[in-house]
Order: sequence, then C-alpha cells, then structure tokens
Amino acid sequence: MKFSSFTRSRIGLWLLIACALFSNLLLLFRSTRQLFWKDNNDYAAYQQQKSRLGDIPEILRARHSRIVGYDTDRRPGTTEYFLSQFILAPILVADDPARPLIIGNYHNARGIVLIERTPGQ
Amino acid sequence: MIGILSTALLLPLLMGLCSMAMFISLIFLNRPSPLFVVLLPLSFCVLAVYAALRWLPVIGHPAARAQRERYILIIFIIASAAALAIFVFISWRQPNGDWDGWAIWNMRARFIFRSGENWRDSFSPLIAWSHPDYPLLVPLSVVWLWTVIGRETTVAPMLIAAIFSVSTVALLSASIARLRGPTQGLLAGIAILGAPFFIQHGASQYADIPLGFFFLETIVLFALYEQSPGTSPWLLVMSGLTAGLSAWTKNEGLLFCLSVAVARLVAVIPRRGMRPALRETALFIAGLIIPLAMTFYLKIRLVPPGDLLSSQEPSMLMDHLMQPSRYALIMKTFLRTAIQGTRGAAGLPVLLIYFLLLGRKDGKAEPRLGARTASYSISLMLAGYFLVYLVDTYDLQWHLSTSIDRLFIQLWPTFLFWFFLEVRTHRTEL
Repeated sequence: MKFSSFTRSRIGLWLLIACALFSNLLLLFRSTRQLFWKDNNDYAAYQQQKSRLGDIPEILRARHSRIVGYDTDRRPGTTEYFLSQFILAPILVADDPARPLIIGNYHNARGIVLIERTPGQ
Repeated sequence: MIGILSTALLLPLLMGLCSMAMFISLIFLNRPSPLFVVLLPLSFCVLAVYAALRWLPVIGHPAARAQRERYILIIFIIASAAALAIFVFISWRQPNGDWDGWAIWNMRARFIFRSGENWRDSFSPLIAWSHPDYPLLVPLSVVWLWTVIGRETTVAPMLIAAIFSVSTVALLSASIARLRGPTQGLLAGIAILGAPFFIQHGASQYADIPLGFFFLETIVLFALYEQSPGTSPWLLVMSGLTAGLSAWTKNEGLLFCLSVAVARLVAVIPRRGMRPALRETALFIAGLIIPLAMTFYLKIRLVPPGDLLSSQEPSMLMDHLMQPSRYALIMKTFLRTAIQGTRGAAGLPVLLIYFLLLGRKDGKAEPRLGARTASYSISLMLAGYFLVYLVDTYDLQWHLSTSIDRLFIQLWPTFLFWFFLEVRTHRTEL
C-alpha cells in the first residue's frame, strides 16, 4: 500500500501533535494529583526550628567568626545538613563537629540545637 | 511576530546583563550599586530594543503564507495553558526549587544577598559540595531582582525560571515561524511543550533551561543573520554575547562557545572562503569577550577549582581512555537518553517517523548555513560531553544517571530548531 505525499504528511503531522498533546496533558494530570503531596524538602518545618537556635549571628559576631560546625547522629551527608546551610546562609555551616560552636541535629533532641563549647570540652 | 521574537530574544538577554552588572558592581564596589544594577542594564535595554526594531524587520524572510489552520493554533494554546498550569503547580509545591535549585543556585543567591561585604563567603571551600565554581548568571539574576524589590522572596527565582522557560518556547516558535512559516512555528512550539521533562525542569529552578535558552538564541541569531548575510553584523555580535552568557550560566557553556565557533567556521569557510569567515568570527568574539572574561575571572580569582577535571591525573586519564567498557556504557546511555530523554511520547523516535514521512526540505535555492551551524554545534557538543564522561573522576554509572538527562534537555530546543529548519512542511509551499 502506497500513501500519497499529502496523506503521509497528514499522518506525520497528527502523530506529532497527538504524542505531544498526550504527554503534555498527562503531565498536567499527574501534577494536579501531586499538588497536595508533601514536599520531601520540608523547608517550612526546618525554618521553624531555626528560631530555636537563638541569635546565631550575634553569637558569632562576639566570637569574630562567620562559621559554625555541624554534628549529627543521623546518617552523615543527609539532606538535613544541606538544609541547615540553606536556611542559615550567610553563616557558613562546616560539616565539622569539632568547632567551638556547632549546630547539633540529634534524633532524641526533637530537631536542631545550638551547642557552644568552651575550650577543653 | 516581530514583537514576540524581539521580546523572546531580549528579555532573557536583559536578565543576563543584569547579572553581569551585579557582578561588576560587587567586584569593584563590594556591594550592589544603583548605577550598575539599574542604569546599565536599562541603557542596554533601550539600545537593544532600538536595534531589534531597526534590524529585525528588514531581515529578508519568506513571505508568511496565510495558513488558516486554526486547529494547530488551538492545540498550541491548549498545550501552552497546560504547561503554564504545570509550572505554577510545581512552583507552588517547591517554592525554593528542586534539589540543585535550592542547594546550589538559590543558596548562592541567598549568600550574596544576605552577606553584604562578605559576599565572597559564598565561594568558601567549606561548602565545596555546593559547587562554588559554577557561574553566576542565575543566582545574580535572583539577587538583582531582590535588590530591585528590596527584599528576599521566592517569587524572584520562580519568575526567572518562568522567563527562561516561556522565552525558550516563544523564541523557538517565533524564529521557526519567521524562517519556515507560522504553522511550522506552532508545530515546533507544540513539540517542545510536549516534552514533560522540559516543563518540569523549567520549574525546578535549575540552570539547565536558561543554558538551553542561550544555546538556542545563539543558533537562532546565526540563522537570522543568514537571511541577509552582511547587512546585519550586530546579529553576529549578539550571537557572541549569548554564547558568552551561556558560559556565564553553566560550565557546559564554555564547551558551547568553542563548539559553536568551530562549527561556524566549518560551515562558512567552504561556502564563503576564509576572509569572510574570519571577519564573522571576529564579530562573534567581540560579543563573547566580556561574559567569557567574567567567567574566567570568577573561576581563576574567586573560587577553588571545580571538581570534575581538576583532580585528574595523567595516568588515570589514560587509564579511562583505554577502557572499552566506558565507551560502551556512555554510548548505551546516550542512545537510551536520546530515545527517552523528553520523558514523554513526543521524543526523538516520533520526530524520526515524522521526518521519514515528510522528508527533508528542498533547500537547493537557499543557503543552509544556519541549519549547518546548528547541526555541527550539536554534534560537537555531544562529542564534548562524551569526552568529559570518558575522562571524569566520578563513578561513571552514577555520574551518567544523575546528569545525562539534563545535558539532553539543554540541547533539545536547539535540536528542535534545527529539525524544523530541515524537515519539509506538511504543505510543500516552503
């Protein structure tokens, strides 16, 4: 069976349009369904915990520093550490528990806490 | 159509220039200055609008046929509305963007905006995981908007993501409409709106869609120049500027600058000879030089070296080059991504069937230098990506799985532009 040039061009045109529109509308359907799913990166909850840390910039200013350490008993390198840095910028959050001032993220502390260490501790 | 084309060409370009002005202000004054942040970009904007109005209408182009195929227009409008709704839904769920969006681009913007004279802290080796060597167009565009508004808001990165996504669709459609007719322009727009990954990634606030936009704009400007070569040299300067802005957006832009310059020379020399080709290259470099110089300044003076190739030792490099399994894995992943990269039905296989059904445009009567520049650039970019994967220091399987789809979507608008320049129309008038 041989199609004319006109028929072939019509088939091509509608194939392209149908596939594009199908993909586009399917994504719309999925996005609508996911609209009220919880975001994995729960900034709002994390942002609230920030208030528990007190005035870190003021403490750092007194110490002439712009860096805090970070310690956790959770799996290292997790999203929480990156979120801490994102929320606390422009304070530099070093992934280093040996700093004099650290953000502690411990599972039994119900969130993040600020820990000040005096020399020798 | 001129209005859509001019706006799509200029609005993202203005964002790029605002980010450059912000960087110059930070370097020289250590703070955002109104002179640099507002007056400089505005002055350029006025000049650019004048240039667009002055030159774009006089570029010769085939007369737009009165194609009354309203159903294609209606489908384009439906697809655009759906894409816009998807964009809003994703932005509403993730106001700070997806992973790289917040952890790299928006975090750098926050650092620079909040830290005042200590803005260089954002490049600290203590946060090397956030890739401090990445160029600054996206974060500084966000900082620019925050500075103009006077406060931080998640609307700014959303708006920038929207500008680049919408401009990509508009530029692709309007440029193809101008060069091949309105119906082809709408079809090109429908094709890109039918790529779910393009829409999702646009809303994720990554830098890949802005980068892809500048790739496309560079190639479009070359193609517009070819409509009346020699009469609009500023289009070549602008193409250099947009190529430079791609380097100012992401590291892949550096490869693009090299690829597009070589591609252009290879395309032009056989047809016009060496001297005109070198003259065109000089105009291209004139536009390229400032954003490229700023990118190198950032990488050499401000930040620690990047992690991709900087730790490469010659022995390891040779070892990687001699492993056939690496070639096979990269090739297999490239092919799989080419088939599935849009994450939807309207991908490369459908375009291939479309091409087989309609055939290639009869282009004996007109030069194909614009299309050739596009195809050579894409080929060189793919070859460059292949080489980078071959020699990189990461675990190859992991690196391919986390980045190849983004590299693909960066090139997809430019590929579609080339495709719709080359394919025969469903009516045979053009």
